[in-house]
Amino acid sequence: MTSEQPFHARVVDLDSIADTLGTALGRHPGVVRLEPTMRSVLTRWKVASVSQLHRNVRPDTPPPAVATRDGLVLSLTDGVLDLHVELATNISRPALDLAREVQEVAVDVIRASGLAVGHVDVTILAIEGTPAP
Amino acid sequence: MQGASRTALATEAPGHPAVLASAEALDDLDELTIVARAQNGDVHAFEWLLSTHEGGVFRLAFRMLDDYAEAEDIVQETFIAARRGLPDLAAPQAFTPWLYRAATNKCFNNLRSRRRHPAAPDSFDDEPVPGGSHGASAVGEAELRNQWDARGGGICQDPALRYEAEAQMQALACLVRAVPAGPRACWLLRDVHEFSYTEIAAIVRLPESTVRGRIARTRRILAEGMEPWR
Amino acid sequence: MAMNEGQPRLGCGRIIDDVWESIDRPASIHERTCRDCQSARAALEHLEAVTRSMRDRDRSDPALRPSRRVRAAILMVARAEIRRSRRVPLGTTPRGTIDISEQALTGLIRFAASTLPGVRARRCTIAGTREPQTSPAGPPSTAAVDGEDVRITLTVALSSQVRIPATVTLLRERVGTIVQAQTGITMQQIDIGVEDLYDV
Repeated sequence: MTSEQPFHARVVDLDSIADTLGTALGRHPGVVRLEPTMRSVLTRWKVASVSQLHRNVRPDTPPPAVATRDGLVLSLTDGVLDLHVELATNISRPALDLAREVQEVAVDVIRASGLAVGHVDVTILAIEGTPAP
Repeated sequence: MQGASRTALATEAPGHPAVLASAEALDDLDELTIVARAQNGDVHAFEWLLSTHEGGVFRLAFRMLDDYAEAEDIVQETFIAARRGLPDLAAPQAFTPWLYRAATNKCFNNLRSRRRHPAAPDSFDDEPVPGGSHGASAVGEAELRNQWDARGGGICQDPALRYEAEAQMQALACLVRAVPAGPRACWLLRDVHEFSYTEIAAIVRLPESTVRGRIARTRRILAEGMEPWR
Repeated sequence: MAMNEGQPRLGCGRIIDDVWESIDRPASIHERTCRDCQSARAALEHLEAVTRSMRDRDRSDPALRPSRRVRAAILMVARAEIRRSRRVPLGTTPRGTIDISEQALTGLIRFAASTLPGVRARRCTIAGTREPQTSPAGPPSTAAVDGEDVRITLTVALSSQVRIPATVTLLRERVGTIVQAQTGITMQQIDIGVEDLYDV
């Protein structure tokens, strides 16, 4: 699989992987939502610049090295995809277990796209839920 | 263990993604608790404070600036600054005057920058700024009157409106606009927003006696200005 | 009109403030005979009535509120800034790291506390530093809290109906249990400060 990476890195549509991840993670039981990603967050991680963001919306450019969605930052380097997820979880499920599951779900999606999996880091930004009756 | 079982029992709320992690409705809590939570970074508590006070802050700014968009800017700046400053607020029970102090200062700053543009003059003869005029006696009542005589005419004295309650309120609003910013803020804070003299003194950072004097003089000017509508 | 310490006076020597303070009471003997007072009183009463009408009207006037757009902008900034709080690492799996924001953790602790009847959680601070800095100008704080050594201070208001020592003990247990169950963190120290009692 490793030998295929450079090829896939060129043709892969990072935006569509981002969309698939967003859908899969957003549907995972216990995930309340993926927290909207701000430009400040990108700046903090130093993985993208504004010009890179702009590149995302220009169709005539090569596939972007970085894609962002609510709560997701995908960063592609030499065929290896690093992912950072920021989410809110429901208190009915242990947040730590849920974060581990989210890592696995993300890994499956990334692998299915043909990319190598780098880091999948998860940050829990809120634990929400209704109080016990 | 009890806690864990209780947590496990917590019901999921499909379709209600934004249900907040609070065991009780904020409306049932005392304001001190809500302020403390907002100080702690609880956005829902902050949102509650925003809902409770945005209207009041807007109305103060609107009566100070007479401009809808600028009053909205004051609301936005006030609450953004307030949220940032909340963790440092030592006396949470003083939250409301503290908030209005920020708003009042921003109104003064706005008027001051207007004053630098001669097209839109506004009197600051009695403004409560550090290093500004301190003697309330320096405000001349005559000056107050002149202001109001010069600017309070026009639509305020439209006889077609004068028999209506609405006209009376408009007349009052007009008269209020003509009062210099410093005394105007004091009067609004007392007679419209119903803060105590002590709270107003803290909001505008002036001695309470000065605040009382300003408000009394403003009332007198306004009462006399309202004579034709009695 | 004489001025004394900035207080305007009537011709009869009374301070206008005094007339104002008494307008919701029947006229005094002096006021019934003094023309200055009578006229001032009538004028101030009228002002008071119009002011009250304006105040009530303004409060209920939907046009005298900021638009939803303003509110949305304020909340967006609030959420974005709060998101930049410190992180507490929860562990590393073969896939990568898992951490929780300090705000999420303090929110969880307040939630846990509030599941006990008679407890209103107020502020929770995690030892090491003060509140997270959210200065918009400076670089966001990403300093991590040591997940192995989490010490917290929680302030609460308690119902006047509960027994304080027992409740504080229960509270410490409850908070420790829920935080452990949700995040795997075993807190090293849980200080509870009771700063208020409320009546139910």
